[in-house]
Amino acid sequence: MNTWVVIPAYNEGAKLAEVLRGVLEYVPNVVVVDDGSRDNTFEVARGCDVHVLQHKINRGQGAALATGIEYALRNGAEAIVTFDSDGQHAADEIEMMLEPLMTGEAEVVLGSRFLENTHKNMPKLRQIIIKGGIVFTKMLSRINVTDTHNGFRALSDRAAREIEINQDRMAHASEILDQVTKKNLRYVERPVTITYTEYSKAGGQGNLNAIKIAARMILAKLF
Amino acid sequence: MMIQVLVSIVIALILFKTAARYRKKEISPRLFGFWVLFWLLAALLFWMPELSQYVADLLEVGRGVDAVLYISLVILFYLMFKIFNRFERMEREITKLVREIAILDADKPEKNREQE
Repeated sequence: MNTWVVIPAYNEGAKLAEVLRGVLEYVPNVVVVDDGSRDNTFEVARGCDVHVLQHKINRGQGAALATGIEYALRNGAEAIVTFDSDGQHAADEIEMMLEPLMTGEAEVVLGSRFLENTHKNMPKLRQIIIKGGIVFTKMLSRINVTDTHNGFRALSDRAAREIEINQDRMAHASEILDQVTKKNLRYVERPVTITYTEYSKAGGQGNLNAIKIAARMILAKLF
Repeated sequence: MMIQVLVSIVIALILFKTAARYRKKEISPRLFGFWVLFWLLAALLFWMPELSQYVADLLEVGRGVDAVLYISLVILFYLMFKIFNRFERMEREITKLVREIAILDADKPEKNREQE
């Protein structure tokens, strides 16, 4: 199966090379989308054995993800894995994520840190906010999952084509789930390890941002 | 009388500015016509407040000033909604453009390897 890993990256120059080396051990086709970073993300990515796309201006993680998926599809991808650039995800779990696609069990595989509580060092406040976000998203998207905001996913090419990401910024995570239910895609959850380091905490979403994301989700539902 | 004179001066200035923009072809004839009508109507309302009273009686809202305020509010909300929608659409179109450029300019690993 022609598998591609899509990695959106915004100001991740410091950790990116390490993350890419890890992923390349398991999948040869990797596409990094530099989302108009102000640091050396683009140069770091170019120094690795990966496809590098650059958003000339910052458009948000959702937009970067959609760009990478589009590129992978145009290059004949049959399976697409989305992966974070900040070292939170474990590359050795990619094969396990792809398995349901291979066996035909599902077309969308969603990583979950709460299925078997496989998160490490998650700050308490972050835990509360994410759990709140899960309840909120479950209500809006009417999907029964244990983790709604996890960037580790595997999609079949058909699923990748069906899912339209219009939310350029962070609300795309819920939007993807919306589309999974709306387009009746068969999905399954798999436990993934999420490692919270000082680095990933500094680069991730501020806790207050959750409110902004929720507002965007509601607006998107209305219009 | 003071407020009428003051408002008229301001509206006259705005009209001059609008005319200048029209001459420079920065706005379409239709838009120019709309703004001239809009500002003349505004001036008229200040000079003849009883006109707004007539509208107020039609809408049964009491004072003429209230009628003007209510109508302005509705128009403002409508315009805001339109601008919000247009803004969102523009954002989406910019993203599409940025995406297409990124894909066309893709750096393939083979190419990077040759450079080494």
